[in-house]
Amino acid sequence: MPDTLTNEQAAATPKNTEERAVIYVGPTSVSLIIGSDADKWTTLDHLDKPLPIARDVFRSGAITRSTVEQATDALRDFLLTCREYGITRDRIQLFNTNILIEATNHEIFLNRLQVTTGLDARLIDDGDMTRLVYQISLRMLKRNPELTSGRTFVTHIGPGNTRALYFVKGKLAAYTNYRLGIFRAREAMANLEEGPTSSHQWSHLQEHIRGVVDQLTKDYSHIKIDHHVAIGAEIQSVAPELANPVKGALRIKEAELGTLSEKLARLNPDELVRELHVNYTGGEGIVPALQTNLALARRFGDETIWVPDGDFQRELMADMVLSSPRTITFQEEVMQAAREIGAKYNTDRKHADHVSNFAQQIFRELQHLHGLDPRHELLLRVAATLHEVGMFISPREHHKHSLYILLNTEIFGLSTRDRIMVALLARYHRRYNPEPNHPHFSDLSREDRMIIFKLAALLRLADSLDRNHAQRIRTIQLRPENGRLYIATTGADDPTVEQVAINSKCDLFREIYGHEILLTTP
Amino acid sequence: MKSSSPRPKTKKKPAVAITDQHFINRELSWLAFNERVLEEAARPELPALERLKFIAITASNLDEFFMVRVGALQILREQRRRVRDHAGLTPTQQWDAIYERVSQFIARQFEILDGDILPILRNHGIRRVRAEELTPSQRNQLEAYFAEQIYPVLSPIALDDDEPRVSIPALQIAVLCNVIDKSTGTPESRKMLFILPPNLPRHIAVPETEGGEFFYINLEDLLQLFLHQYFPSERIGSIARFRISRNSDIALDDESAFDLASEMEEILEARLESSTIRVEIEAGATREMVSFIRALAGARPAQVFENSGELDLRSYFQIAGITGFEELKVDTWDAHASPSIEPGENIFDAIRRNDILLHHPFESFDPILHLIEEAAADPDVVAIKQILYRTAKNSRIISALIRAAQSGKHVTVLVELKARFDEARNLERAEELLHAGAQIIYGVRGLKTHAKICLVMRREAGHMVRYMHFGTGNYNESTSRLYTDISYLTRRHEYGSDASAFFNTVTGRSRFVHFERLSMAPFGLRERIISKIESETSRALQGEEAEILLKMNSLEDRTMIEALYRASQAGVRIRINVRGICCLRPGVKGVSDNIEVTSIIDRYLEHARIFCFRQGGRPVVFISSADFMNRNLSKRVELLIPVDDPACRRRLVNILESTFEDTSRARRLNSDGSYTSIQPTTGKPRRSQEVFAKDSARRARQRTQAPDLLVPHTPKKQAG
Repeated sequence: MPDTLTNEQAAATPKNTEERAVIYVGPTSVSLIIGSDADKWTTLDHLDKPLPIARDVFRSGAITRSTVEQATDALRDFLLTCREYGITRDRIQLFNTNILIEATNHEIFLNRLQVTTGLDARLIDDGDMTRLVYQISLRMLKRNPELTSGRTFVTHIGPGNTRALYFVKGKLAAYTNYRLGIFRAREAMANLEEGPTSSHQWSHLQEHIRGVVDQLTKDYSHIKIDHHVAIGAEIQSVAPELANPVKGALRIKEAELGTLSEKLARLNPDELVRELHVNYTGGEGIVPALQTNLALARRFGDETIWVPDGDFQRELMADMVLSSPRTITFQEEVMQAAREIGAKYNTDRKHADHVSNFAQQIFRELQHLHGLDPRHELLLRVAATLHEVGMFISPREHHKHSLYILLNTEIFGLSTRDRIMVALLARYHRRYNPEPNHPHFSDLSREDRMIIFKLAALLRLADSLDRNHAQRIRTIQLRPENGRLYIATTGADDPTVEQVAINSKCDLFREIYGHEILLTTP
Repeated sequence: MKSSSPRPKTKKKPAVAITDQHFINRELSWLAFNERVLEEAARPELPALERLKFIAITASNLDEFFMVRVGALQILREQRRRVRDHAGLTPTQQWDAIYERVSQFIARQFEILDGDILPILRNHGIRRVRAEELTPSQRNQLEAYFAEQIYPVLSPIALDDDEPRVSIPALQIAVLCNVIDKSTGTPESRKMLFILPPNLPRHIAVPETEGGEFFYINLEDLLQLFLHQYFPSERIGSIARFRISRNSDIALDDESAFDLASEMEEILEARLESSTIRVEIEAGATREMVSFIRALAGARPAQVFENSGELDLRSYFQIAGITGFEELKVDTWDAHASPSIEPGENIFDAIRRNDILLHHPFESFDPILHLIEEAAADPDVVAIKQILYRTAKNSRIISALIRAAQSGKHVTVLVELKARFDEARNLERAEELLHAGAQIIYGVRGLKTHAKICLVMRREAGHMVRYMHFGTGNYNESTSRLYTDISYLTRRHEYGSDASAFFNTVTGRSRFVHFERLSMAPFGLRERIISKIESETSRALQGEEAEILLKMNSLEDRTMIEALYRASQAGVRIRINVRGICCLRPGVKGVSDNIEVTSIIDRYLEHARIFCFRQGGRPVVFISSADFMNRNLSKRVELLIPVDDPACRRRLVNILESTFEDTSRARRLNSDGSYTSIQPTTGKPRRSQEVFAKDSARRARQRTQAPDLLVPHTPKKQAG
């Protein structure tokens, strides 16, 4: 058989149809995940190389030259692996940790990555991270009825941020995000330029951690907690040392975590790697992360802490590849969070819900016209819910008040980019069309600006359909035909008021979608 | 594992503390191994040439042992480091024990060779001829041969008193002679040295013999016969033959039972000058010559061995492999095709149907060659990744990898250059691979890559599927015919992602990331085995039946041995088959009463590593590239592979059981470190290698004979 082989049988790499790759430049390492998402996501390959992004960012405020070189070397290797799988560039995504934002040279760094790889180097943001933490929490809740039935407090200690989610009977009841993270602590400590375990540094670290813990306990002092879930790359990587997973969760004892954390604190970085080689990620952050979790557990008086089973960073990446088909539950949590913000600013809840429902229906039925994805539907619904928050300040120019309120209000589950979009949609829900010199709007990419146009047109239509905030029109039926969009309404005998509103506000719709809108009654 | 095994006693008393006396010195244990090999040469029922082969093996082994192990001890002595071994012996104590034991060993070697084997050979026409036995015509023809072949390449070296000391190459036979000049008034004597080059044949056929006979003269005898040609006007005085061994220049071969302790390795590598470890002098040298040689070599008296017979018995390998003389050779056991693969079937299809377990050399190594050769030609194969440690001459595997790279596949090969015997050969082919476009990695810094793994990535219906071969032996077609090894072929997803992760790690593309099923040294392989041993221990403590079956080449690691002792103390029944070194002392009351150690030396070199843990009746079985040696577990890149497929797992357990049922070639290790043959309790002795050979023949026959259906060979379907 071997004798019959010839070089003429040289084969072109077979066409790849299934695999995708995600590269993540994280706080302590750069990783590549290759997987196939044929029906469900299966990871085929996972590569990881240490990269001290967090150290650079929090120590010197900039990415050092050697880190840049390490990053590009690793990325070149990763692209080689992708080639072996026959994965073309259009199936590789390159994400970067959001702490990069804090590096003065992050633009240069991202550009360099882009030049090296030919990939679009995107920053993941807080919203993505929050969504992941939420999803991990929910998975745990689902599999462990006691977490669902009780009051469950979830903390996520990230490299630059700390999050807290509070679930009551399986529903998200509160959410906060703090700009306090383990690497800030760790590097504040390292700046003292001493050996790894000097007592001076130790007390400095403890002080830093106390800051986080104080803030959290203050915000959550009024609530009752039955269970505490700790999520994070570091705690998840050491938890298997202390317990075995049952139903996707590891239950570790506060006392044992304390012992382990003290033991690890005495090791130098190399010993740490050896000690934790199986599940090790970013050794530098481990001790500060464990200490923070421990301090929280002690403050809240937990005897046991629940830790999800699995590799946090790997899940984060898998989540990114799947380009986040956000779950219905998650969307509803976001909507709930939006409604709460609306209530805080005394918006007309009934109007907001009505417009939001119309917006959703119009978005779905005109899918063939705008071609946008479910993420945009959520943004539209949130914008519809919150378009009038500016009224809290003054009805005059309320769209502008809405803009800056939303720009400065954290909405659970939305990234900064998402929030800017929502704020701009509220800004343009009235008569004024976006213009290239408008602040914030002009900062958007061309693609995002187009999305603003498309969504704003839909929001205006939905808003016009409840012109007088009385929910006169109860239901609508859309029928695009010959350059016209016929909307059959029920509820109002005479929808003239709404038609007038449409005529005055929906020039944008006509321009974007090329359809006149005509309201009809049965 | 069979459940009928008797339940061992569980100790209720507090465990006996484990001390140095519970360990066997590894050097002495190794010498015991070589003695077991030598006993094969003494087996009267074996054909003489087979026995001669064992003589040559023991000689070759002993050479390496001196250069590597004794050499290391010498360095420790020179540095006055009183590092004690597991058994608590200092380097000097070990040296003394080795000297005594080796002297006895050599005496036994010549007893068997001269007293037993050579007479049989002589009766069958294979015979060493002495110079004085030659007929004048034979002598004339040999003189012509000498003038043509030897004289031009062999020059004498004058050993003048004022000359700097000559360096004598290790392991080559040297002939020293006194040359006396009679031309001056008072006869002047000077010493001349000849070093026989290794590229000259040791045995030169003597012409004019009967058909079916092989008469030969040793090179040193021939040289001595015509020595006067070098010194036409002088007289030849006394003559001595000797051979020296040094503690470097040694190719470290991981597959032999030797290695350097890891700390030794560094010392040795850093050392430029190598000193003499051993001087062997052929009997008959004068006292004066002996002390001259000793001084020349810079050796102590305790390093000198005076052999009763000829030097360098390794050269009997050539005679053992001589053509003809079939009556003096063993019947061959053929390597059969595995029934898991249909004749002519594409190997990928076969692996897709089921995991495949192969037991070499009883089953052919061809499927592994086919895997790589078919992968090279398969248009759906995207990448091949492979570790090469020792490869055969003109390796088919390397040729296939070169073809694959030439046809545009991603070929990654880790060539481990530290397998020094093969360095030159590996390098040359590495260049070829590189030119073909393969990615070559020359080992990993600080670690030798010893794992045996091949990964083929193939696209099937749009999906990437990974095919793996995991083995206990090297990718070497030649040794695969002589070593018993296990191959495991699978396309299981988790194994695939571990295989990829393994290559990502060794190629430096990634740090070590978590493995799903496999374990890798030095990142947790040791811990995984320890935890399996401990799990049996705790089962035994809870009164459950607990059992461990292990098969390996060497058992030396102290941590592992201590874990096994604790398991034995808890009542775990442990059976271990160790081919070579075993530092574990079995059968010590309160420490290792439940441990039984056996060793098999037979036609094929026992080489498979199989570990089996009972796990409450649902045994976990692993194959591995690693022995329980500190170097393997801490200083090598090794793999531990659980065999998940139930049929393959059952087969491995059967292989282990058969190994432990051997009553022919197996010997039991006693608690004093000696070995005794295992006698069959009833009936005929059971020889495990023969059982395996017959078994594979039967399995192969069953497939070809069973159905009343003829299977035509059709042209192979082109993939894609």
